[in-house]
Amino acid sequence: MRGVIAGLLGLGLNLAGCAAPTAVSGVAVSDLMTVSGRQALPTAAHGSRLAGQLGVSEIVVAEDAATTLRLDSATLRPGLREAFNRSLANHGYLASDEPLVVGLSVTVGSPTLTVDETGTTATVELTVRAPDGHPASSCLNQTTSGRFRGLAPINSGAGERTTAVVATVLMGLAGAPPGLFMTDQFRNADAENAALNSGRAVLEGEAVTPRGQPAAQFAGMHALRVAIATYVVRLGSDPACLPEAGAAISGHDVAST
Amino acid sequence: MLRLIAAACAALTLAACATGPNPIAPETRQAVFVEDAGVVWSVEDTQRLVNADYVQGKQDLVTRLESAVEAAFATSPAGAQAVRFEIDIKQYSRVGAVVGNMLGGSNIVTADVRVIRISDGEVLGVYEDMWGMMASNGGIIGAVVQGISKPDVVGIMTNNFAANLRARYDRD
Repeated sequence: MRGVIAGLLGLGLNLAGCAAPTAVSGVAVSDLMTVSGRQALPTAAHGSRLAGQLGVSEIVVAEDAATTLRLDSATLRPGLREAFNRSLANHGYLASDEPLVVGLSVTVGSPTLTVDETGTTATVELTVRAPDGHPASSCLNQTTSGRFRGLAPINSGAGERTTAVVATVLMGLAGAPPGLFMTDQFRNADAENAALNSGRAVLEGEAVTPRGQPAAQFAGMHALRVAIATYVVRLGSDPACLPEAGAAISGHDVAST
Repeated sequence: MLRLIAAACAALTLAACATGPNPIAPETRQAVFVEDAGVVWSVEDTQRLVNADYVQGKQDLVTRLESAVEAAFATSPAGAQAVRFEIDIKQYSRVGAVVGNMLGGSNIVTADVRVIRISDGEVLGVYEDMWGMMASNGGIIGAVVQGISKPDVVGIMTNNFAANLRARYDRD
């Protein structure tokens, strides 16, 4: 028994010796919802009159949204605000200082989830509103939706983990130091599982849900990112938002609101 | 009980693994996204290139290391500036089940990872001595287990490397 306990302690000490978890760690919630430069969407850099003008002043979340997406609202609301503002910043629209030139109200509607044996699809809707009577409201007031499918991960490594535990017990009873073996088998199993899932073919708008993350949460956060991306695209391409839309959204008018 | 021990181990992991300050400031790390990863091979292996198995294994490692690192950084960081991870491989070792488990030796890859801003080529920072390995040190039991399960050695090495790099990138 002491050998078994020593094995488990060995597991801890070996992990402490700089083993890294195979799941992505340390990723901020907002990162997963932020539209980065990777999408190569139109930016405000080419003469948009909304460049450096926008920011989120209010986030409203439907009562059931956080629950459906398996997030607590204390995480979802600030995470979404940060993600929306960073998405605006990445595309040149974020106002650099408070108070905001144009404070946007962003409302997250009730998400829908479709679950089947191969994955979970989330659909969410964002409604963005400028302050009442704002001259650029025909551009800024938009409702966008996002849809994303999180594929169920293929599980593997159960045999290695079971073998590791059984072998650890046997080695511990025999007085051999088993901790390192058990640690290594678990680490190998995790890395092999990541390799198995990363090699799968996925379509646009879907990805494999990381092991251990609720499928609804993963699909939902990505769906929110898609909805934000759609809004950013409209800022850069909707006729009502383009410079030729005229003086109605000139810098002076925007700034005076 | 096991979960408690696992949680304690995770805490120890986080506490014990900081090996120095992160070479890139947090605000810079947040301002980028990883467009791609590429491998530079700095291991002196001219004499081994006549071995077809070695060459095939090396090529497999390179391809899968690039994709594993790209996958680990696919959605985060989520900034506006594109960067490239240049993975300069300094050590690469492959051993079989018997050698690895009973005689010593590891399946391991070690590299320095340079973070290069694509727009101007500036090196934002270097993560030195990053490693990925498939651990094999279980003696006879380990050799038998490995012989039966036939693990995806390259997949384990490359994904372990990517996970280690991700953890290092996120650590201050």
